[in-house]
Formats: sequence, structure tokens, C-alpha cells
Amino acid sequence: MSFKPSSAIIAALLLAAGPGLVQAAEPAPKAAEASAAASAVAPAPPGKGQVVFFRKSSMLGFPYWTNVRENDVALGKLTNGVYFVQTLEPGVHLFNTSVLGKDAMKLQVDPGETYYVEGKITMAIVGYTIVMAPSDEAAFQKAFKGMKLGKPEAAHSEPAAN
Amino acid sequence: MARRSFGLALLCCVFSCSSALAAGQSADPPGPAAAAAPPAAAEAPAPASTATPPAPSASTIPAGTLLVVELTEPLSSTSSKAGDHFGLRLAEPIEIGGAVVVPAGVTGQGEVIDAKPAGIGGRPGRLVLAARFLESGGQHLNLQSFKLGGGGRDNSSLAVGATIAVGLVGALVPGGGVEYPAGTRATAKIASDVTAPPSAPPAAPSPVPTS
Repeated sequence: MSFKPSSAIIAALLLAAGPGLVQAAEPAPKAAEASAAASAVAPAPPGKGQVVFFRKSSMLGFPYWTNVRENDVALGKLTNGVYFVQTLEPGVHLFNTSVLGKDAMKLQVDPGETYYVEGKITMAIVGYTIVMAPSDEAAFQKAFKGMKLGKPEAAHSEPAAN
Repeated sequence: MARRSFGLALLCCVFSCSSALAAGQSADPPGPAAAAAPPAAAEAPAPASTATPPAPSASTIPAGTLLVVELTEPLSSTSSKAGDHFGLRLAEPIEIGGAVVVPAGVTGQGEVIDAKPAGIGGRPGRLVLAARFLESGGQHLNLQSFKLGGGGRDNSSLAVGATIAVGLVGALVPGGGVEYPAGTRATAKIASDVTAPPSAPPAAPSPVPTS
């Protein structure tokens, strides 16, 4: 077995450059995910606001799902790893979910704005429930990989209370 | 001979007068023109001043102008209730064309839209807020698009872990609440075009009482 100095030099160079290469390669997928998440949600139509409901993909309580409702009208289904975008009139909206326990959340929707609401699995006395929590674009982008677009159940365009 | 000399004298007189007049015409204008310039200049801005009826220092703040505001009091998902009002303060002045039209420090009001304390089972607390207005020079600057409200720490994974380990005890694991100390900064936008009051002095930094 012969030792070649040139091989050692190449190996040393690869070892030295390796972490740098990994570090340089890491931000690329994150940037790609962020841009994919951003392009997945178009700006709100003029004079209206929109809410992105999402539930990140997780093993925790994955069989559970809920409809997000407003005034007994289903807006969309929150299953595991799904998001949907609902266009809404400006004003205060009250959203409801119901899975072995009810949750209701009010949100002020302003024209031209996009809001993010995350469905979170929490424990009930028996089994799980899904509660809504205000979120932001960064959290949506982080959860975007592994989520798929669900369809909003209804175009909800009733004037909201102010 | 006398007639000829008189004619020459008359010619010289006419020539000198005409040259003097020509010189006077070329030399005179700076004086009268300079004197006449101010009226011309004074007449020119007249239409411009009629085009801007308000005071010269007033400026229009367009709808959608992004503002940085801060809370004047602490807010918590435990103690706040939907419908509560809280104090806001403009953290950075509003500038139009490099001039400050609303100074930092003017106060206003926001509203708690939704509040829910953290619950058992790892359920996070919730606090949804909206900015309503800033008051400057007796004028309300209506606000919208407030970005601050958030959810508390999600302890559901911990709750599930505890349930697996110790049975139903996991359902008693509390979630995290939402706490915003006074001075927390947020952004809001001007809701509609508004004529800024002329350089209103900053209001005293006293918190607006919570109703």
C-alpha cells in the first residue's frame, strides 16, 4: 500500500472545504421554501383581506381534522398538513372549530392584508382537539414544506362587523 | 454758410439724441425690469397658492403609510379581555418629503379583539390586537393593519409526552401565555388619506387607561 501525498492534499482540501460547502448549500432550500410559500399565497384582492389557515404536518393527532367555520358556514377543512386561503371582507370575523372540544377566535381583517392562523393540536380530556392560534408568514414558510393546498369550502363574502 | 453750419449742427444734435436714446433703452431695462420683476414674481405664485387651500405647513399622509408604534402598557392573554382598549404611542415620527408631519410620542388607542388564557392540555394562550387611532393636534389618524398579536407557546407535545409517560396527567400540562411588556413595538398603517395637523407637539407619554 503506497501513500500518495497528492491524495492526502486532496483529502485535506475536501475536509477543509466540506463544512463551507455544506454551509453554503444550506440556505438555498430555505430560500426556495420561502419563495415557494410566498408564491403559494397571492396578494389579497383589492378592497379585501385574506386569511391563510394552515396546520403543519405532524404525527401528533394526525387522524383528527376539523372544519373552520364562520356563522355556521364551512370555510375549509384543516386536516394534517393542509393549508387553504380564504378571501374575506374587511372587519372582525369570528371563526370556529369543533373537534372533541370547541374553539372560537376573533380576527380583525383589514383590506389588502394577509393573515395567518395556525390550527394546533392540543390534548383534551379524551383524545385531542384543534385550536386556532394567530400566526405569521415566517411560521407558515417554515411549515410550508410538507403541506398541501386544501380547497376553501365556500367563498365567504358576507360583510363583516366592524 | 450759416445755413450749412446750422444744418450740420442740427444733424449732430439729432444723431446725438438718437444715440443717447438708443443707449438709454439698452441701459435702462435693468432698473425698471428689476422693479417690475417683483410684481411679475408676485403674480406668478398666486395661482399656486389658490391650488393649495390649507396652511402651507399641512401635508397629506397617504393611506397605507406604515407606522411604527409601541404599547404604552403591558398586555397579557391572562388579564386582557376582548373589547378592552389599550394605549399606543407613535415610536417613530411620520415624515413626508423629509419633513416631520407627526412627531414621535403622540398617543392613541388600540383594541383587544380576542384574548384567551393558556389552558390545560398544552393549549397556548391567544391575544389578537388591533390599532384604532393616533391623536395628533386634536385630529384622529385612523389606523389599520396592526401586526403584533400572536399565540403563546404550544406545549401540546409536552402534554402528549406526559400522557404517554404518566397517563392523564398530560392533560393538565398548561400551555404558554402571551405577554407583551410596555414598549413592545408593532407596525400599523394609516387607514385613509389624512391631512396632517401642522407640527403638533408630542403628547406627554402617559398611558391611556384601559377600559
